[in-house]
Amino acid sequence: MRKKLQAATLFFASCVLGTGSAFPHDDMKQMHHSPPATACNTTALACASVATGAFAPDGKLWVTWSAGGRVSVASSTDLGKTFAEPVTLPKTELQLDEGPDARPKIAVGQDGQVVVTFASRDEKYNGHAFIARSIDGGKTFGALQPITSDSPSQRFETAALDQDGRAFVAWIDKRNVAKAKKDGKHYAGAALAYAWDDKPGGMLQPATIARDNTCECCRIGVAFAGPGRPVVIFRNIFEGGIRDHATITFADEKTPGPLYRVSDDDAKIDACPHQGPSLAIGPDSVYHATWFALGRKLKGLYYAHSEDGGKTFSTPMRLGDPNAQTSRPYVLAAHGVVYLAYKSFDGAMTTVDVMTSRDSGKTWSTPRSVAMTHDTSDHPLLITSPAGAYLSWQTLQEGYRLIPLEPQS
Amino acid sequence: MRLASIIVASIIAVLPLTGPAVSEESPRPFEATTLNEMHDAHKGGPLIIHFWGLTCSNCMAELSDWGAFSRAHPNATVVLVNWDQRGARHEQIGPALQKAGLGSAPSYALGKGFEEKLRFAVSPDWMGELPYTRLIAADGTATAFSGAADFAELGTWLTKKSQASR
Repeated sequence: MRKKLQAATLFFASCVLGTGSAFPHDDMKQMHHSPPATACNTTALACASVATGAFAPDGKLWVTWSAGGRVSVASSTDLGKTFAEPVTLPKTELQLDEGPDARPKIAVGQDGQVVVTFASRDEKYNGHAFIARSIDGGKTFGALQPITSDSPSQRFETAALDQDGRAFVAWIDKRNVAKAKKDGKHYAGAALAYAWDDKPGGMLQPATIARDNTCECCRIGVAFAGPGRPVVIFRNIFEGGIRDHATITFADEKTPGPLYRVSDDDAKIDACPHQGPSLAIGPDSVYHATWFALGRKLKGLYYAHSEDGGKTFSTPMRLGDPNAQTSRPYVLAAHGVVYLAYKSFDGAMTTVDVMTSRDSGKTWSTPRSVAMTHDTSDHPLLITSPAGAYLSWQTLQEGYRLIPLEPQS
Repeated sequence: MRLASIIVASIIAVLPLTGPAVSEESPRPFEATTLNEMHDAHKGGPLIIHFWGLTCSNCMAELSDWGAFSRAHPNATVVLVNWDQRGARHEQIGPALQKAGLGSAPSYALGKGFEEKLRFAVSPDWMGELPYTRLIAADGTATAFSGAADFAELGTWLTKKSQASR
């Protein structure tokens, strides 16, 4: 069950707004997605700068991407070698959010449910996030629904499907920033907001603020500790303006639990790192967190795990070579293995390294390079199918790649 | 009229870093060779290169402080480099700098291409966080800091390095 929940974890992202209602996806023409040799402005996957993959419970791969100013969705039955005709979601009034940590995200549940989230941004860089749903296995998507109606800005929206098929969406929200400004008060950062579907495949209910004064610059991570109990990891603003990472575990679907610090990075810095954390929870309930630190005590990429529901985390373990711009860490717990991926740049080439742990994060293999590229690349993402774990990576030169990760000895 | 505009734009494009106000025009692209060109053009004195982003709230919050610092140190060379990536809105750079009192500062924007490579050329230690500032002394020695500037400290550095270069 936990595996299904994790497979359904959405990594939602940046945006498109629109007015359409249904988008046909009738025939299953095969689409090749190798990158073009010249400049690329179409909505094709080959033109995407970011792409997010997720597996359905039946093993079908789903990918959503942003290209040509639109968000598209397509599925593959041969592990990304070929894709069915994509569905392009309606054009949003504003241009898509293309910030360094923004991306369209997708979650796939049982009974043909596919959920895509993304955001657009206005001229003042306020985000406007949307959710698009399909209940017929991705053949058609309903109209875009704003994730909330009463906020001036929403970014880094991230959704996951609960066991019963309802979407849980969390994001960084600026409604209380606007309120404070109106009252002439100072308000640091933004807030962590969330909403649940009223029923499986239904509509998102009104938003609730889980926590004020969180960092406004970075992606957030969502995993499930159990049915109705999402866990959110995010960069919080602690007393003194320290921007360190924290988790909140929901006691039940309406009750965000206490905030626990992941690590004492001592990030007293008024800078936008544009690099958010990643979280996975194994069947043994161990939390696995990885993040980019920019603190006075810790700098670089780190991993830690928690065996007590996030109350305390292990001593942070440093990842990668500090002289190789190591960035964008991601974690996955699947098939009895914990996987960590990150990318590094040596001045000429970007490499994705993967590490594995077979004892819930206590000990780790040495890093192994699994993919590389010589030009611009998206964040490396880890996804799991019922059969195995994969690296999902979009690069300018090679296009979309799905690379199987064999556990290391 | 259009021809006149093109000629004016062309003249502005070839002006040296210390030339007159250009920020209302499109920023110049920051390419692989730009950093070395900046260093070469300013071997005789200290150079401050400030990397910022329209998408970075902390950058926007202190941009007018950079304008004030620039006015208070008219002989200092402060170069602004916009590091917004995908979806960058270059047309907003000039007006934002103008509003912050940095209309006459040399202005660049991240060029098209491989951001990691351009960033690596600036410094392998720079993880892309903004704001990010590099201080280059007349002898080429560089130091850098991330986050908001301590302008008093920056003024001290400038005075010290300006005296050293005389």
